[in-house]
Amino acid sequence: MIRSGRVSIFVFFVLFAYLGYMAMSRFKKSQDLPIRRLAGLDAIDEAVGRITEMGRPAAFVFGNGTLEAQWFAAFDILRYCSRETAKYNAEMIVCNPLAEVQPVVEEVVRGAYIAEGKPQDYNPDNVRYLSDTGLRAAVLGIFGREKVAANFMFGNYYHESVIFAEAGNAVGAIQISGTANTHQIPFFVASCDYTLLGEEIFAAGTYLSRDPAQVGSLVAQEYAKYFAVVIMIIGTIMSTMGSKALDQILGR
Amino acid sequence: MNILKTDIRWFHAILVLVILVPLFRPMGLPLTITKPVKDAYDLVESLPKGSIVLHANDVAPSNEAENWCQLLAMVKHNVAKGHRIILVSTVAEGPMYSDRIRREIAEPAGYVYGKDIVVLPYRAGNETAVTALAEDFQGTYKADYYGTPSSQLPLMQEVKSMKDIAMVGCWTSGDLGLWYIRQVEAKYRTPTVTGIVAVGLTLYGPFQASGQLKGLLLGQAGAAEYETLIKSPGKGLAAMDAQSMGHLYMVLLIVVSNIFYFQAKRQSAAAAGKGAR
Amino acid sequence: MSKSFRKEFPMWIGLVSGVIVIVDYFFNISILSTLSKEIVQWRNIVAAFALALGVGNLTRIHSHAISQKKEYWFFSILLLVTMYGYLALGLITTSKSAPYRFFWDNMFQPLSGTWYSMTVFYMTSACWRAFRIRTPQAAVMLGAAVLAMLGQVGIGQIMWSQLPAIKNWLQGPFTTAGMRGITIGASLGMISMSFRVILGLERSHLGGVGE
Repeated sequence: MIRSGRVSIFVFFVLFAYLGYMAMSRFKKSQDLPIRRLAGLDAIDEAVGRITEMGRPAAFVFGNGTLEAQWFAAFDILRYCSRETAKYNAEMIVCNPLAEVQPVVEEVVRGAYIAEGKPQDYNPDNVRYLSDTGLRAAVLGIFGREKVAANFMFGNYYHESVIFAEAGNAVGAIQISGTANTHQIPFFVASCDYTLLGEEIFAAGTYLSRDPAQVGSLVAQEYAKYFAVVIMIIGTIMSTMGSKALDQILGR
Repeated sequence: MNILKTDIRWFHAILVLVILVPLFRPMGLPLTITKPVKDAYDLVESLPKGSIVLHANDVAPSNEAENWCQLLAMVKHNVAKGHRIILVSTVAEGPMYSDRIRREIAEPAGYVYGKDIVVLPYRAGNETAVTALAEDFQGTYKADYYGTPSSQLPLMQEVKSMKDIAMVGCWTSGDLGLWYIRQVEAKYRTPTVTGIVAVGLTLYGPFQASGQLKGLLLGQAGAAEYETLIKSPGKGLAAMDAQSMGHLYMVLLIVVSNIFYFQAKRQSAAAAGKGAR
Repeated sequence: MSKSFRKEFPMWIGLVSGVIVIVDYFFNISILSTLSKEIVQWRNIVAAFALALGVGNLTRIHSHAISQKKEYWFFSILLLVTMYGYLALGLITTSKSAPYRFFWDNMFQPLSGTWYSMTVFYMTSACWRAFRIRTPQAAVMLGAAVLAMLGQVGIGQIMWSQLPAIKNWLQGPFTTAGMRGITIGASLGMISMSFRVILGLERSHLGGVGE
């Protein structure tokens, strides 16, 4: 019944879903939410304070990659940033390279302004579709003309990471970034003030919202990681001893 | 003069000179063939004449400098071995490069379009496009890039599933290789090689180390190594001297900036100490 | 359309299509395979149509800039003329025609390649400004970067014949192992995020009030 080669993945999938459900049920009742401090997200408040003092806008730049889970993580952070900028009457320019999410991005930002009770302050011209090929030139132009004081870079980044980070530095912006793309993490770490590495951007929404259901899925993710580590250790020992049993089990 | 405050454009100007000079006066620097490139070469060598090879061509102007050289080198090798080639793409620009392969490499070597080589159109959707072609190849491509129905192309009629493909090559600056690993290699065990830009090692290295990728070409250096193996120097080899000097220049910048940085730190610490007294 | 319908309907679409595709991945049920393929094809169609949304957004923003005569409004005219002109050219003459290919080969390709090449200047700026040894970890990272950069190219081999071997050793156990760790963590994060989106626990993309 189960397709060949996917039995072990299915078992892992079911266990993961069950763990998530158990953790969500537990944290619905509890107020104790065990998420460690993420410096990059705490720095968003600092950045918004800076743009308010300096009277210059912030920029929120999505990565140029395809639509996948990192985009949804970036929407969480965009919503938070939008609420903060709305709260302090600051301005934020959102740069979007992907046409299919343009309505979502507009809705997230507009919703944030409505939630802060300032729907009249929402400026649709600040949510810009820039296309994937035009993103680099457009963002550099925005940074240069608007002299942004804060630069938030989250999502599926490729080589444009170093371009935007250096351009942000050239105008003196505080820079907070995050991506799960391993090939761009070193550039962000070296060039930005704060960086969220890998899975931290997926935890960002949970961290900012403190929603118990989301915390539950984060806990399930942590347990899955422990499980992966245990499997790796067992697999390493077995492979060293010349046994392929684990390979065969996981390959079913 | 505080060198740390030098206008960065001076360094850009020096960089341009450092890269241009070796392009006009090659230095003949040595090149080491790495195992992932050799593995890709050996895989192509092992395929019998007439094998069907699928090249996922996501070359675009942005990654042309690296991926185009890699793809050209491998296609030349395929043509020399008499492999039949199907070219697909998930970027809009890809089929234009595939068309160049047909015109500049395949047909001059005597390949007959439709029988030995087929260029298929761009399919939007990224990984979902790869899923679609993996699960229903003929259903996904009802016509080729030029509008000819697939039913009139003998090569297309031979590919009923990915099991009929002897090798997949992915040429990209992004996640294309990962999509093919997940949707084709994992399901059908089709040998897959990837050509990626140089920073892609962190992304594809684990898959190459685990054997899910049978070969990996990294950046222009990977193209240069492959051109050396097939004894057909091309754009990859031509640019290696410039790349060497560029790398050396970047390293010197890092070292020099840190030397001046520490010097400035010491001076400000000494000045602060005097001020305190 | 009520607010709750605007939020609930996309969630249900996400839930139903997500469950079908996931179940089809694991189980070989012919009706689900057919539905899954259809959903995948529909996703591609929607993505293609979404370009029209992007065109609409660009037209609105730049028309506004032109009508208000904002700074650099003449570039907005250039953008709109280029965008609609090339669109019309492609629709009338098709993408295989000589005029279309002319603009593609002689304008778009060189400009696009130029922008990619600009990365090297920003890398130079980063090498000069950003790669400073502020902490012991930064020193280790820079040392590895220097060895990898020199070991990758011929000049490194001339400086020290062992550099390529050291580079391969750094890239082998260290880089691969480190990246595997981050990749596993990030992949689990993606699975978790995808679960939340499909099950409707993650609603940031639905926007609206009710945060």
